[in-house]
Amino acid sequence: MISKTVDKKRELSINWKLLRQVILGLVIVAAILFFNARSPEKTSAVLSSTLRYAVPLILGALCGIFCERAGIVNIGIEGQMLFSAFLSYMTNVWTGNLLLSLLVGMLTGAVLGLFLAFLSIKLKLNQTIGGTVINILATGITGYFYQTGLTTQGKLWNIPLGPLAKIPLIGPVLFNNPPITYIAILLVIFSQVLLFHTRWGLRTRAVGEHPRAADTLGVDVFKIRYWNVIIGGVMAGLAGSFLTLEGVGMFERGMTNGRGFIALAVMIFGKWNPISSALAALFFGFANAMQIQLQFMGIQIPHQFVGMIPYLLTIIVVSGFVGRSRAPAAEGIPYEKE
Amino acid sequence: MDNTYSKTADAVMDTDKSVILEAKHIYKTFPGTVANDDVSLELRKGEVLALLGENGAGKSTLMNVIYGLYTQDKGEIFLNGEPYAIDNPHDAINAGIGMVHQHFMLVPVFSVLENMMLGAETTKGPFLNKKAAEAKLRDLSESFGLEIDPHAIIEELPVGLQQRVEILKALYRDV
Repeated sequence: MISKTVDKKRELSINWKLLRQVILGLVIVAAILFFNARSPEKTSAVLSSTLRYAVPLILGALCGIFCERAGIVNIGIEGQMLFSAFLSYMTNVWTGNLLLSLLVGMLTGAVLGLFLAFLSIKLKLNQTIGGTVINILATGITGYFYQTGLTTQGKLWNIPLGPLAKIPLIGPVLFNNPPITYIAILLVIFSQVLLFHTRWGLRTRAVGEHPRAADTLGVDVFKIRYWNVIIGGVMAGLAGSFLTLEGVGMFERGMTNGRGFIALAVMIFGKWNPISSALAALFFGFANAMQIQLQFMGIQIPHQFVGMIPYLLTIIVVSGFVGRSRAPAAEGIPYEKE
Repeated sequence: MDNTYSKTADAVMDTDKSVILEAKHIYKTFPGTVANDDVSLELRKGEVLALLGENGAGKSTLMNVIYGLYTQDKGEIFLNGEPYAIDNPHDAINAGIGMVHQHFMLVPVFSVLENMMLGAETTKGPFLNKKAAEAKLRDLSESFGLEIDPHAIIEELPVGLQQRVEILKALYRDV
């Protein structure tokens, strides 16, 4: 009896949610087609810019998701991104080898992840402080060692995906991108499947919610936490490499410019779910693209105010629009074996 | 607390009365207290043994030692006559020892099925085999008369049903 009514309720709620999503999707597609009919160049410029801005946010949010789903709060994403951006850039300057630079960026993220994991799991340090340590270290060290006037031999180039890139509108936007953008899109799907359809994901989520329960069933809480924070670090490292190898093409002091923190907002907006977070990142990317367009249009508002749009949206969305979003229950609490 | 528990219910038992589990002179202290002081226990095949005692008598400590959550300071445990030295629940589960915890060890936001699978996952290639797990759970529910909706979320279930899930969880691990 009980089980039947519960089943029915769940079915109904899924249909509602799906309906809302389908309507929202149709509205977005219609709006894009409408603007595309009016000015095709501008539309594809806005969409490309949306994706470009979203990629580091997507990767940063994935870092947050892996860490927090396993119960470790990571506010050091900003620092991981900045450090990785710097070391990938320097590798590119020294060797000119883009693949090596990319690997160095990922490795840097992973090592900083290991550092955070060590502080939080082994030393049981307050995790907010651990993340702050990484942010301060990254700002200080990269700022100190950065020299102006360095040149690189180039950055990662676009790889059109054959006939797919020739589809009008979406072809150039989705299927003619540099490699890290493709990697980011694949990683979203990979992470979604990993978290919700594999043994590793089930254990990760259990450890983030109720580590004692996982432990009584023979799950190694520490191992799961260490590895997830390291995997997250690789994602943040990719985000950093994206900035210097694919986005801007060079390094500047403090170039992450709060992206690591927006990534956290994106993660919360996406309810710690990779696909939802990617959509949230695209939303922020779109806000940023609109902001750039508004500046080009020469509207009589000081550009500093227009430039605030993505950050204002962060505040509005995180404070009000998220609805019931619940962080993993064991997040931030060091686990102690009895 | 010098206790020796021994077989008390042999009248009910079937012909095979071999000792399955034997704990000898278990001694376990926590900072400030002695929880188990020289406790011995013998469990025979088919026997249902009840351990009674007031709060703080050390019942749960003894169970946790046998389940591998604690390691005894002194004393030995034998399983089917073999020395049984474990230091984690995983080994206990593999040895066929399960535990229904007094404080629920369920992940509140997980479904019943996810709680069943956790730590005893059946996989198909790299993926969780949720269908197989659900079939196994339904079989168990039916044969033990413990009806449960596999997709219900734990925190939405009343305490009585959560207890049922705990019991099913132990059964699910073939203990």
